[in-house]
Amino acid sequence: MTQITYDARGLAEPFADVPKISEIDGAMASFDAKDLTTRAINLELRWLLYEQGIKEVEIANPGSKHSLGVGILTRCRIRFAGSLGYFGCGLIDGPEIHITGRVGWSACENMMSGVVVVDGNAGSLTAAALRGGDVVVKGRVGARSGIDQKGGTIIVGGSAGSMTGFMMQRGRIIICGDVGPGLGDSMYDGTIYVAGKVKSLGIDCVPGEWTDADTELIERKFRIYGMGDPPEFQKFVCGKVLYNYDLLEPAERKLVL
Amino acid sequence: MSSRSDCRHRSVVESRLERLGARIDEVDEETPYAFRVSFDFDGDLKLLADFVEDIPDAEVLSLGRSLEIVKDLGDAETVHEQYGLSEFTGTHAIGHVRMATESEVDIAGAHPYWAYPYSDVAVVHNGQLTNYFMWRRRLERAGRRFMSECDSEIIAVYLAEEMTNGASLEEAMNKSLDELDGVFTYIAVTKDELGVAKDELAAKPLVLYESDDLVALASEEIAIRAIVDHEIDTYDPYEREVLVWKR
Repeated sequence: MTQITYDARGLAEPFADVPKISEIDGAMASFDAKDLTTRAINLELRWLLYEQGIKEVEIANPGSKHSLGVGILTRCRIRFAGSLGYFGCGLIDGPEIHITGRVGWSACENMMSGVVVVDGNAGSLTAAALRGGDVVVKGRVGARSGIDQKGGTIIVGGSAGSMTGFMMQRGRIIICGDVGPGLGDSMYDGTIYVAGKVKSLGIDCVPGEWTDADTELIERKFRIYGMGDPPEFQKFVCGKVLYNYDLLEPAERKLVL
Repeated sequence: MSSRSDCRHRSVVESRLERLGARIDEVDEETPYAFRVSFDFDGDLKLLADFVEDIPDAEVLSLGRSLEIVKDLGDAETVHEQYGLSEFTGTHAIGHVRMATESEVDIAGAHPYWAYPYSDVAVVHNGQLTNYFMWRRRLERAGRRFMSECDSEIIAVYLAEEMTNGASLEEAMNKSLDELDGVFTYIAVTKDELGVAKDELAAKPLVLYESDDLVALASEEIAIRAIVDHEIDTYDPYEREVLVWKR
């Protein structure tokens, strides 16, 4: 008989029991997600990390299900052997996650810290509103990747779609391939590096002056993620003509005033 | 032809088809209110469709030589069971589950759309077209007829108009990127082609999987995984991309 529980909003949450199907070996665990719902997979993952003291989890057959690996707020290692759907690994703070397949739209949204490495491609809105940590996509990413980015680093091995870095506020985007139209449109700050062709720059996105710090950053990131020798990049920054925003957070502005 | 009307009127439909010279081969009653008629006909399809639709409460849901459109209310499983979709055979198919935002929830408002009475084009669409009324008036002045109030129908009628004027499906789809305003990903099929187009903002999702013997497109990979039970490489086409596969 199916057990149904209700969350604080009164929405039904079928299968709210933790499956507890993992094979646990010391601080490591693994389980097969093939026949589990999104909710069951996330419950199992959280049970392992928060209640069993597991530090390393391998999840087989995620099957492109949506919203997997979200809201993990502890340091740990997670490996998804396969692909994730929409909103994978969003709202995380601390974990190192490796996805051997691809991810759908809005992967790593609002990520605070940690590392996510995707071996395949990613959909649109990758790392939207990223606050910190590294998001590495070895394939291509869709449109509006890095939209509203507030920190951290996005590294793309392939190409990127339109409006990459739209309204970017801080952080870095490194793209090894070509980029679609409207790069860095309405960005406030941050830096975008592109090795391939740029179809067009967005409003207030301008070429930036290359420094030694740029070289050091690129080389370090390529070394960390085993991406070989970096190609030659162009650098783009905010022209600071469109808006008169300063760099202060609201709390900082209060102190100044 | 798939027709929606009270099946008590089935004999009237058959009679009207025969009066126009159609040679009826088979009639299948799929539901109490919809049935499928297979027939040979060399005449004017518009005349035939208009004649059938002139029957009170009758509506032609699709009319074609190679494509058949099945649409109804309910989830995919319900419609699948009602119409025996597992019995269908062919080289290409498109499907759509609508989340209605702006027009009625009824059979006419369900996708796929076709271009009454232009046979053998069908379209499914995710998005909103902001210059719908302008195009509707323009196409109606050109003699086209609309079966619903849904903006998605514009795409099918637009493509039919362009192809009637000599454009290929790919040419018509490329032109639509400049002439249809709004956000959209749409898939169009003809008797031997499958095409997909994305607007210039790439605002709506699309995942593409291609192998030696299969092309599969969906809003999300999990839908493709339902028919491909192994790890696959997929990607999202970019803005202003039009891709067409020919049988």
